[in-house]
Amino acid sequence: MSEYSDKELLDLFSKEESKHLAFNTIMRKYREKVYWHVRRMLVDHEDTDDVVQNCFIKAWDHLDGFRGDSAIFTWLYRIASNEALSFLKKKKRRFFLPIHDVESELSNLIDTDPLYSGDEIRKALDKAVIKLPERQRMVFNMKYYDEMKYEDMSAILGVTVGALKASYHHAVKKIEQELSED
Amino acid sequence: MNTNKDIKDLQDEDPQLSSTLNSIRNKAESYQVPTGYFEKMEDEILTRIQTKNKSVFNSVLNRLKRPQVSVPIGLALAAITLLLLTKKPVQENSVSIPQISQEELINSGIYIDMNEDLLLESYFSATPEQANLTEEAVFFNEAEQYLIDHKMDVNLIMNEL
Repeated sequence: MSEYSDKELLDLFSKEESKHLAFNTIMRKYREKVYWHVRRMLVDHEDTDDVVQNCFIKAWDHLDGFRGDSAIFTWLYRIASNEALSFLKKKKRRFFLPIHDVESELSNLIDTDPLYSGDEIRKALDKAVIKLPERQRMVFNMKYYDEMKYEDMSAILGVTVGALKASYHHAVKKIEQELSED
Repeated sequence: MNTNKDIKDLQDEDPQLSSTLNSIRNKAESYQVPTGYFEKMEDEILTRIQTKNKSVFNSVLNRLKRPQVSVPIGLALAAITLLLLTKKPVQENSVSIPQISQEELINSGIYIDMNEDLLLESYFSATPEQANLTEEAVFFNEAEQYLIDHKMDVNLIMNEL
């Protein structure tokens, strides 16, 4: 697959004849990263599929207005992060679930989901991650799994690098505490 | 309580991961996807993009088909029907149409979030200054908050569904 720069992709997207080529290239390049980012937040595949599709549809709708101030990757992650957090918020509001019940629901899903294949220690980690506050969970996932730079995370989440480092530090401590209790 | 030095230490370096966390990091992904999922994703998204403007109704219908939505809606509708059937009229000769506020709908569990596309459309038509979209304007939450802040008539949007 040819490696287009962000600028080239934006130029291609601005022309009717190459719009689909540009967008397909963007989707192929980022679909898995965006998917796993959302899946680790929502746990359920079907919910994740909905959110990821919405994320790319929004990207299609608004890519023309994207000024390229940030990388497409950062912009997409930002949409995906907001969509995932918004989905969780709506889920709680729609079903009047207290936070604890949402945690329980996600935790139960790990035990029963045929699309989950983690061993015992991995299961303990995934359940410990679910117990973190949502934004802290997102920070932990982006750093621990995606090994993302704090500067990129800062651009995506709109939080200072210092605050992200502190958030990651606290998340790691909480998770290690959880794992040591199991 | 954290001292300034503690906070500086937190910001200077990442915490040392325990051997457990280090070892798990290198394991394969524990969440799985259906076979061929990523290969089909692009086609599905492009199909949705092409048909999205034609069929907002279908999108709502698909959400309603999901058991976690349809079951509570069914139960709530049954409860409301029962309530309306058993409610005695206040005055014998008066004819009243039951008024159900959005808050009551939410409390009864049959509230469905507005279609995001319609909500965003309303947001952009109410804010012509946003014609040159910035990426910040993409997000649903901001549009939702704007409509709430400006007390826009959400019923009008709901009627379009």
